[in-house]
Amino acid sequence: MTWIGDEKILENSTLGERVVERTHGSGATVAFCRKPGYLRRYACFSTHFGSVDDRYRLGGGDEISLPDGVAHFLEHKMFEGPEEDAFLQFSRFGAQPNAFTSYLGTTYLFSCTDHFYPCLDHLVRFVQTPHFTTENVEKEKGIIGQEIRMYDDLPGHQVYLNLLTGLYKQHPIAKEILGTEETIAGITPELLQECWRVFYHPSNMILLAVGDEDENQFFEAASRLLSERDMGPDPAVEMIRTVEDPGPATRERRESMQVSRPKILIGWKDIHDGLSGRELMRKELVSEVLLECIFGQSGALFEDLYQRGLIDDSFGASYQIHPDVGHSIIGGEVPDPDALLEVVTQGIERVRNTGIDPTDVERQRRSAIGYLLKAFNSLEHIAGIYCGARFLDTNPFEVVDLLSEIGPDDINQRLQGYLLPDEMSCSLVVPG
Amino acid sequence: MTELASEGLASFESREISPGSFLHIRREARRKTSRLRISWINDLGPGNALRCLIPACLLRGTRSHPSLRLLNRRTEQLWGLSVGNAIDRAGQRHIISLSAEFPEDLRLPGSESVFEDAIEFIREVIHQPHLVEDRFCEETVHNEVIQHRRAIEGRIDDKRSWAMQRCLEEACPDEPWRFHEYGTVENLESATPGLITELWRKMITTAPMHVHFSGDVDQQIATEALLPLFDDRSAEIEQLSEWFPLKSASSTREITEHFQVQQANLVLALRTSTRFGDPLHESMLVANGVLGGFMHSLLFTQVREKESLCYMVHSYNDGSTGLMFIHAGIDVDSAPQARRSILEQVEMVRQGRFSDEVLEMTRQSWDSSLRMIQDSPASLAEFDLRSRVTGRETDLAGLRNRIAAVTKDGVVEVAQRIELDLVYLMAPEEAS
Repeated sequence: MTWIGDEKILENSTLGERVVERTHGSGATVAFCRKPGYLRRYACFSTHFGSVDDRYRLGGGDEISLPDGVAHFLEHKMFEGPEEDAFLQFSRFGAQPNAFTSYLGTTYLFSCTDHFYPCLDHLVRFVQTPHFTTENVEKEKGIIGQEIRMYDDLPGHQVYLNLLTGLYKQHPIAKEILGTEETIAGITPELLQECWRVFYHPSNMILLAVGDEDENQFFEAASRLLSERDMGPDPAVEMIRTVEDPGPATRERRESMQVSRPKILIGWKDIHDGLSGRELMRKELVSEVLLECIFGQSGALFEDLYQRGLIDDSFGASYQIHPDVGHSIIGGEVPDPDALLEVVTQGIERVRNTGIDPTDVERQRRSAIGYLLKAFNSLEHIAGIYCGARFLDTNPFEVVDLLSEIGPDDINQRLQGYLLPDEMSCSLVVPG
Repeated sequence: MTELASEGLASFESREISPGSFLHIRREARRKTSRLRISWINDLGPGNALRCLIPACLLRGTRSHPSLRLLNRRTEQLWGLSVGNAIDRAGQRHIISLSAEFPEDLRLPGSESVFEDAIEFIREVIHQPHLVEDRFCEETVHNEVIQHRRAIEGRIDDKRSWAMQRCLEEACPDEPWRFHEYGTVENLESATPGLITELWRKMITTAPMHVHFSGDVDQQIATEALLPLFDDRSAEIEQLSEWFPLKSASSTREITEHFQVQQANLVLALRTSTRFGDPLHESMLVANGVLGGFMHSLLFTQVREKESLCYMVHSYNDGSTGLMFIHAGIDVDSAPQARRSILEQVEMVRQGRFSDEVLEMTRQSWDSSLRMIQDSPASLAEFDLRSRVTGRETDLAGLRNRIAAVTKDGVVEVAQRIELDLVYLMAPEEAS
C-alpha cells in the first residue's frame, strides 16, 4: 500500500512549526512534526472514537447504542496481548507508554529517547492486535472500578462532571468518560471486538510522530507498518449525533463531600449551528479572549473578587469546544458561592453595557501569542493540538492569523448573546 | 538526527557570585521561550507558613505596578510572561521559588524584544515590591494570610496526598521532614506586615540563593542581565542545619483513619537507611524501580495486573530522607490481601527473585527518564537545584553511568536494608 494524493503542509512562521500530513492507502492519516535537537521522541496512534460516540449505524442498518465507558474500557484492554502486556515491550526499549480516552478520541502513545522505530512498530502492532477473553475482560472491571472510585474521591472532578450534567440535557458529553461500575458491568469481549473492528479501522485513525527524526524515514516506516495487517474494508460507520436543546438542564447541582471549603463552577453552553473548520476555531478564540477580558487576572473583576477574599489563585475561566457544542466555565474554590455569583453576574452585565476596552483585547492578543510559543515547546502539546484539530476538522496553525483578525467588535458582538443569566448553570461541591 | 540528540546536552554552567549566592546559566537554542527560576533555601520547621507568605506578597504588586491588576497587565504586555511562586521541600529543606517564562526575542514579530524587560520586571518583583511606609500593605498581608490558610486547610481535599502526608507524619514524629511545606494555621496567626516585610528582607539577603536561567542568550549577556537579581546580598549567609541522621525502623506500627471516601488509600512507609552519597544509592534507585517505579515493576504487574486489586500502585524512594513509600488505591475489603501482596513483592526484591530482564528494563527506563529531563529546562533546573540542596551529585551523565553499572547483587544487597516501619490505611467511614 502507498500514499493517496499529495502531502499537505501545515505551518506557521510565528510559531516556527511545520507538520507534514499524508493519507495512507489504508485510510490512516499520518503526520510528522520535526523538533530539531530534542532528545525525546513522541508518537501517538489515535482513533476518533471517544466517550461521546455512543450511537452509530452500519450500512444503513439499525441504530446501535453503546454502554457508557466502552471507549475507555477498550483503551485499557488493548494493552493486553496474547503473549504479554504491551507495555513490557516498551520497557525493554526504555520507552514510556501511555493511553488516554477523551470525549472525541482514544490515544495510544509512547515517548522514548532511543529505539524509536522499534517502539513505533510495537505501537501500531499492539493497537491493531486485540486480545479479548472473558477472563481478562472480567479482571479489568476490578481495575477500572478502582479507577472510577479514585475519581469519585476527587472533588475537582465531581464538581466538573456535575456542571456538565447541569448544562446538558441530552448530549453524551455530560456522561462520565469512564462510565460507572454499573455500565461497565455488561461489557463483553464480543462488544469490545466489534467496537475495535468498527472504530479502529485505519480510516478512523491518526498516526503522528513529533521529534528529531528524519521525515522520509518516518513516512516509509509508517507506510510499511500500516500495510502489514489487512484491516478489511472501511466499515463506513455513520455516527448518530444527539441534538442538544437550548438552555441548561438544571440551574444548580450541589453535592456534599469532605472538603475544606466549597468548590464552584459556573457554566454557559453553546450549540453550534453548522459551524466547522476555520469558523469553529474563530468562535473558540473569540470566546477565549472574551473570557480573559472579563475574568482574567488583569481585569477589574478579578481584582475586586480577590480583594474581597471571594476567590483565590484557583479561580479561572476556560472555553471548551466540541464539534456540535461548547461551553464556557469559570470557577474555583470559594468561601461564599452566593456572594461570588452575585458579583460575577453584575460584572458581566457591566461589561455588556460598557463594551470591552480595546486595549484589553490587544494585550490579550500579545499574551496569547506568548502562550502559544510556550505551548509549542512541548511535544505532547503539539500532538494534542494536532489530533484535537483533526477531530474538529480545523487547522491548528491558523490560530495566529485568526488572533490577528479578532478585534473588540468581535468580542462585543459575541458577548451580546452569550453569558446570559438565564442560560447559566452552577455546580457546587460543599463541605458536609 | 542532530548530534545533540545522540550526544546529550550541556548542563548548567554555575558560578558562586558571593558566598551562598549561585548563578546557573544554560544556553538553550531548541525552544521558543526562556525560563528563569530563583530559589531561596531554608530549613523546614514550625515557621514554614510565614515564609510561604513572602512570594505571595511579592506577587501582589511592585513599585512600578502597585496592584495585582497592574502587575498582571504588565505580564500580558511582556508577551504573556508567566510568573509564579512555588513552595517545595527537599529532605529537611524548605525551598521558596519564583519562576518566569517568556518568549525568546528572536521569536517575536518585527523588532520586538522582551528579554531585558522581563528580567527587570522579575528584579523589581523581588527587590522593589509595593510597600507602604516601608512595609507590605496591611490589606495585602491580611489577604494572603486568608489565602494561605485556605491552602493549608484545603490539603485534606486531595485524599491521596493527605494519606501520604499523614503516613509521613506518623512514621517520622521527631524528624525534620515531617513538617509540611505549607506550614500550619497556628504559625500564620503571628503574621503582621512588619514581620513579613522583615522576613522578606532577611530571606532575599541571607538565605542561600540559586538562580537558574535557560535560554537562547549569550552567556555573558545573560550573566550581566541576571546579576542585579543578587543585589543587596549579605556577606553573612544563614547556616542551614546539619543533615538529620537516618533512623531504622523499630517495630512495625499500624494506623487506620476514617474519611468520607469511596476508595481506601493504603500507604506503607519503609526505611532504607540509604541516602544520596551512599555507595549503594543508585542500587536503591534501581531496587525501587524493580519494585514499583515503572509499569513493568513487580507491584504493577502483580498487584494490579494479575490480582486486579487496584488501578494505581507505585513505590517512591526519597534519597534525602532514606524513606520509601508504597501507595495503592484499593477497595477497603481488599486491604489485607493488598498489604500481603505488596510485602510479597518487597520480599521478592530482597531475595533477588526477579528476572534479569526486569533489571535491564529498569536500568533502561531510568536512563531514558534521566535523558528526557534534558529536554525540559524546568525539569533540569529542578534536578540541579534538588541535587545541590540535598547533596546529590549534579552530573546527570555520572548518575546515568552509575545506574547502568548497578548489578542484581547490588540491588539484593541494598534491598536487605529495607524495613517496614508503618502501615497507614485511610478507610471509608462506613467501614468503621
